[in-house]
Amino acid sequence: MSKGVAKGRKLIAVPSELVRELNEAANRAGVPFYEFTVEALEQAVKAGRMKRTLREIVDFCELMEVQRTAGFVVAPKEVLNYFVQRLYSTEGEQLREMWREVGEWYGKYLQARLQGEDVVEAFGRLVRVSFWDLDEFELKREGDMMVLRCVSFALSVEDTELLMSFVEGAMGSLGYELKKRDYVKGIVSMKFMHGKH
Amino acid sequence: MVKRKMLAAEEKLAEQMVNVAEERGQTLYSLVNEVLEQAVRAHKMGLTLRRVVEERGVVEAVREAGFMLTVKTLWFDVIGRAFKVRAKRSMLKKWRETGRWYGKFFVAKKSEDPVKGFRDAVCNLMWGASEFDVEVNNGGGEVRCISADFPLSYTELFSAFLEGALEAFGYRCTEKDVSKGVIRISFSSK
Repeated sequence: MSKGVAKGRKLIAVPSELVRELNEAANRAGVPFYEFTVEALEQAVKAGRMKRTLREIVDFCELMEVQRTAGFVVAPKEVLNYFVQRLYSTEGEQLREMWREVGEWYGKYLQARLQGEDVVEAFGRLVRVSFWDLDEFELKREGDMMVLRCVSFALSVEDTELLMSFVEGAMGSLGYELKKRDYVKGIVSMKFMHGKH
Repeated sequence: MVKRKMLAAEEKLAEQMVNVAEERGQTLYSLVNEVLEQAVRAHKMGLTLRRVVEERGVVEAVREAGFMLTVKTLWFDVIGRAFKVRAKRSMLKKWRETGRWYGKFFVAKKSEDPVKGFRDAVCNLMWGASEFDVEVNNGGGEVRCISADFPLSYTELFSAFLEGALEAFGYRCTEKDVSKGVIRISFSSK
């Protein structure tokens, strides 16, 4: 055992600059330095059991905070689906318009909230972490176009159409015009071009 | 060369960190760095790592239980529209059934204290509610939910959901007070 270390403890090397930041954070939190660092290590072990890294978990938390401020709420999926299914045959057009409008608002919200960031890329990340039914959601640049590909085994045709309306609204307010779209139940392909073209 | 300092940690915890680092193919030094950087980052967000990790666990549990994230205005609007065109009674029945299902889900998943599991999940994820609590004492208790945002239609439906969950926990409603954005349900053992 190293000299000067209490029995049952081990020493771990850490960069001095990080120790200084930790010290400041512990002081501001009013927690002893040792307790603060041990808690961090304990949470890392817990994250490991969840098969995740702390970075992923903190990233997720940060994205959820963006969604929380945007007015996202948690709802029982079965109930929302039940209502949408029943309304869709008579009010489908109004529902799609509502989803499009909310998408537009959301795009503007992200522009205001994420100044200096790549908002389109952030939009893709936020959709991936928030729309839990999506098995794949990819939004990437291909030349002048932004191309979206989405796959979900859980979405109904109605959900698929509403998701497309939401995305179209959001991309529209981020300056991208819809050029092409193809879809079947749970599978979407959309192409957008920036308005300046 | 980066200047280093030595941190003391419990031997068992240090060993667990070594295991995590090995599983990820990282060195202990880089893992500890990453962890402590995230602790500072969480602190800057006004949170502790414990809170962040707990919230992630709750989101996972709630997602597994069949909840989804949606935009509040859409959610309330759809409910409002459905309330107009559908029979209110059948909607309340649907919500009550759904609440009962979620209650049973928590009984199965958190059998040691399903009410607490349910309360924690709702508290962590009912972002619109300014207050939500379930108090249990001597075979009875009270549920309180306050949110200025909730329209009356949603408040009524959510109260039916809560009643359904209470039934699954083995309680029955003895008194109920519901007005726009405010729910108070007293309950006792069946």
